[in-house]
Amino acid sequence: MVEQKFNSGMPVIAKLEDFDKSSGGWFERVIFHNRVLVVVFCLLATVVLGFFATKLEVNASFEKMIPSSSPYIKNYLANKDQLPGLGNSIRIVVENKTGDIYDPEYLLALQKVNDTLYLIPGIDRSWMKSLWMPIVRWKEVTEEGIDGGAVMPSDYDGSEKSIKALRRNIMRAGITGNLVSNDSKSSMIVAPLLDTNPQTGKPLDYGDFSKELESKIRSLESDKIGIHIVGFSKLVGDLIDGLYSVMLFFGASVVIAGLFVYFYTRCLRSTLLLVGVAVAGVVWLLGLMQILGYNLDPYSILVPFLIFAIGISHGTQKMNGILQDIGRGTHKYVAARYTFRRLFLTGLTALLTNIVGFAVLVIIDIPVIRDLALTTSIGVAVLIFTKLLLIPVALSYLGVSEKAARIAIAKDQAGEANRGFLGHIWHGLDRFTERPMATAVIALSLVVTLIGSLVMMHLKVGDLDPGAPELRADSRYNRDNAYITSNYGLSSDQFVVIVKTNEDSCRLYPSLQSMDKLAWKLRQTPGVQTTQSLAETVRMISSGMAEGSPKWLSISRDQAITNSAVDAAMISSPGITNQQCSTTPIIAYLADHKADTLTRVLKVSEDFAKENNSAPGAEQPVEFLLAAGNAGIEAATNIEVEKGIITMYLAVYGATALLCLLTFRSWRATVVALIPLLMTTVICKALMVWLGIGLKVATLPVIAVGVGVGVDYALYLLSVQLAVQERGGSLAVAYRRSLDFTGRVVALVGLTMAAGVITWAWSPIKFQADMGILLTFMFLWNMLGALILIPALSHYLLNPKGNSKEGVTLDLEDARAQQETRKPAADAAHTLLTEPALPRRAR
Amino acid sequence: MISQSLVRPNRSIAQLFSATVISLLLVSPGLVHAANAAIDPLNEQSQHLEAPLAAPLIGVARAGSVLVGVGLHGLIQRSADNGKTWQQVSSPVSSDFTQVRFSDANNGWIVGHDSVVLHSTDAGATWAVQLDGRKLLTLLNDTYGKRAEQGDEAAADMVQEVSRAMGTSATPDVMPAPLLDVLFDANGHGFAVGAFGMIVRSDDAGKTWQPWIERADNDRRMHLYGLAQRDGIFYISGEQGLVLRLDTRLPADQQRFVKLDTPYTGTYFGVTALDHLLVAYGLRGNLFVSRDDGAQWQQLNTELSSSLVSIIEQGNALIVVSQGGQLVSIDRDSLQVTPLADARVGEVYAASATETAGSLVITRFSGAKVIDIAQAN
Repeated sequence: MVEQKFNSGMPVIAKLEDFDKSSGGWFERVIFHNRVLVVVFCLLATVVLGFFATKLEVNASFEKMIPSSSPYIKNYLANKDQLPGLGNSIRIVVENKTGDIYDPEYLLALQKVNDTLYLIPGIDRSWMKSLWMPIVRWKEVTEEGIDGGAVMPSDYDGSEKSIKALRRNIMRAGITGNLVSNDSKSSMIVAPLLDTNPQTGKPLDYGDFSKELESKIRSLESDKIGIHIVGFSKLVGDLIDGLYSVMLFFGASVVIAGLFVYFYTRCLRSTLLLVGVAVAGVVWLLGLMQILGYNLDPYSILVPFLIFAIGISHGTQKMNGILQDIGRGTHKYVAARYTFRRLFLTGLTALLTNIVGFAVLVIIDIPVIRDLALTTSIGVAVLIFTKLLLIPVALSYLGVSEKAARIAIAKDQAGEANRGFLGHIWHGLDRFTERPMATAVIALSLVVTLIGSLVMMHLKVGDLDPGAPELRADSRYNRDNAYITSNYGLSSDQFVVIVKTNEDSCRLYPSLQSMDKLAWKLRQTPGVQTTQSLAETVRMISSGMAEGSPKWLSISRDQAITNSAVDAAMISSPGITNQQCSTTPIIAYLADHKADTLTRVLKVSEDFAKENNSAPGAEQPVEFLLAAGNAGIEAATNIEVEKGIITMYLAVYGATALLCLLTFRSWRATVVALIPLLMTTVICKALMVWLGIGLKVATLPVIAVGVGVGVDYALYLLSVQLAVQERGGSLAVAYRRSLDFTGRVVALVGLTMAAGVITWAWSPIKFQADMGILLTFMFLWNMLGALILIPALSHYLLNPKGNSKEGVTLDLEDARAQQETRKPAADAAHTLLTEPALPRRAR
Repeated sequence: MISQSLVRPNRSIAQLFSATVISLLLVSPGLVHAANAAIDPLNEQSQHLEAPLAAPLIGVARAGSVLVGVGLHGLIQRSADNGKTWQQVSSPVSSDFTQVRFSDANNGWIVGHDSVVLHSTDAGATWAVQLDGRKLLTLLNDTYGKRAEQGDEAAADMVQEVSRAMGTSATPDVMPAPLLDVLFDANGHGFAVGAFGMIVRSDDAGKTWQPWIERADNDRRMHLYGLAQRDGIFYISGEQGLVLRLDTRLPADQQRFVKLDTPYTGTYFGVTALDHLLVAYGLRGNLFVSRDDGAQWQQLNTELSSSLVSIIEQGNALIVVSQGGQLVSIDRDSLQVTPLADARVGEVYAASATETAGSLVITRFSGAKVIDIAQAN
């Protein structure tokens, strides 16, 4: 069917009356006989889906970024509710920029922050701690027993005397490094958060909560008072904020891509149409996402960009055909039908192939990547309607500007005259089919690839920067975090082992001993700054109960003493174990969250668990479950990512190779198509090392998308080249022709795709920026690799006549053949599976 | 109810946490004695740590040219260069240690939780267990049991007391209380003392031990924190102003510790016995001296606010080290107190002299550190 369409019955028809409306396939007739219906349907769909799109929720769910089927993560999720102390609190540091905390003005400001925070819904008021909260107390051992009181003197009046009393109380309370910074220039408010908003009874919305903090707390910042806020909820809030600003980037991407299209077509009308339809495709996608229950999260927000870019680049090729038909004098309605006739099936095949390419990502068992795969597939499916149906129908009404059509034809006929420096390079590309250049290029590629693969060895798994890896190192959140980390004791990288016992058995001496031993082992592990656990707290409290004697820094075998210590620990440090005393965290604070550190800590914990988990049926079971805490989750994620990358390579390259084999029916051509991709993959990894980007959930799909989109270039170029070669053209001629037919499309696709993603590089969300940089690199480098390496490799692999130099100019027959094949060849850019048909129909 | 028992709840526990009683009731004996082949520090060697050693160190002592520090999790570490560098020494148990003492350049003892006593005859290079909570329990039951069978009522009470103490032990075969100090004289006579009034005596450098709990004026079984010895006369310090002196005028088999009256009611963490000078020190910088072997006491104002942990002889001066890291010097003759420069090292657990005059080694949560004694400005 495809061959027929290309060869027969597409004469230039200037008048609509001369056109046989009953020609073409039944589907074409159905569409074009109901043009109004198609347009109305699409408009309606855009309005309806647009309505749903506005209701699309923006969210940042951390659970979606973690591999939920990892046994570690299962442990975490199963015990999450029992570990309230982990992260679900907000820490606000109020800094005196012009002095220390013993300053009445500062203390007044602190009180204001304290009281404002106290009233924000979601704060667990009973456990909120700060210098102004009465539950922060000092204690002192005296001969009579324990003396104590609130740190803030009850008769505080800002006088020198009461500030002196406060200073003494802070010393006696031992809260320096904890609630008061080491340099005494700031103090901290720690507020645990409730799960539900008490005003609405709904789960606490971190986005709203974070906004409240910004508007009510951060606004209290001044020249004198600095405010630093960290906490899981703030991080989520900042991520959501980041998402909104990324949405704005979409506008920039649209403008850049629009410009590229305009420079290619020189037709404002069709550029606007293309961009409009591509945007409509995105609207459909967003609407469908809402209906299907997806959220816009930091990952899925990338899908609209990709879909827009794919829509634009593929749509441009369609435009190309119509431009030339109209340029030659065909009526716009007829031109639209011709285009539909030529491209519907090949376009459908291409899009289906793209869907397969993205769907491969589903095998990676991380929800965000799965969602990314599914939503992108949905998006590409949407393109079938917008690109394959709506564009031809819309063009049949609108047509293109005559000037643009003339230019398109002139460009083709003028051939390669009138070119500047770039044109010169363009012209020189076919020199790569000749032995000296081919050899040089291949040798150079080998060297670059070799260097790349050496550098690649240093690629680290996971995140490499301190602070919250989701955000940039210089983001407000991470600066706040760095301030707090450097002025207060503990790092923000927590690795948590969950200890499960029977109810009320966390207090038992054997349980505590084994917790203590793991904590001790972790403490000795390089990269662990310190540990915090019930066992260690029991040691401290036991000593405290013995008048602070260091000789009692122990877990007493006397269960009565240990019970008292556990009770006291549960009162003084809520979250040190759960209410039932059955789920107890051991927290290791890590110096960083580099993969090496995580792996080491993970191994120590894992080995310990293996050795010490009690046998099934034990009377008092003690079980060590890995892992929780941000570092624990990251460790588990790293494992999945490391496993995932191999699966991903096998799947993506396997699928691509199969696709190439089906298309070319030649292993040589497949090799020629794949080698540039492999090279890009290697260099991309080297680039990651140079840019300090780790292999992680965000960068994993980049490689798949890069390969999937990258192979398009090879398909475009090689299909034409092979077709001409099969007709007897020499390699040089074939490649030149292939460049002329599809080279510009390749360049345009590369540029529009890059335009779609380059704006992410400015995203406030770190991993999005990483993705943007890498994808831009891959889209562009794949394009270059295809243009340069394919001729060079073809010289060795696809050059049956040897280094033939005959026929640099085409004979008349060839020239005519060129006219014939021009459009089909350009369309071949899409013709993936159907490509082998080309040579046959060309004759 | 509180008195006369090895299970006397710690006074401060009772004051601090009324929850104690509740939790005592909550925990049934079945729970307490859960047989679990779990981790027991008595059954495990200490874990080898990465150098540099930065783990909690509780006690430190000097043996000739060698320093030995002991800490949590069975940590024993040695230094041959006055505390600059330390090497870990393996320990047969991983119990938490509380004290290390040497009677000469080679013979040393470590005591700690789980009632362990470790002995070294080679200046701390190797250590062997002499006593632990298991052996102690057997010793107490055998000794007092035998005497009780012979009709000794006091011994029968002791059997009862031991049984009550074991009621709250997490492990039914191990005495649950810690030993807090150990001291031997040059002839191999010595004592180890601990929580709930524990006293054990050895006359053969720790090879065999006899329980001495009832041979002290400590009916309320106060924790005994410190030991001192001068010319074969031993002193013990403890809670609630308790200072005991071994009465050596009695025949050997009737000797006992008699109480010395002191003007203080808080805890004495340590006692030091010198020529014509007995020093008892404890909570909140409290320090008392006696020139007449404990009959008359005089308080010296150290102006220190935290507990005193060690006293070190430096020539004619006594260097007093507080838990808060402050130091003062006391002239042995004039009893003049001179403040010294704050060591600024955070919380200090113990201190010892080194071979270098004017230089001390202190132990902390983060390990040992050498500090120089300097006059405060």
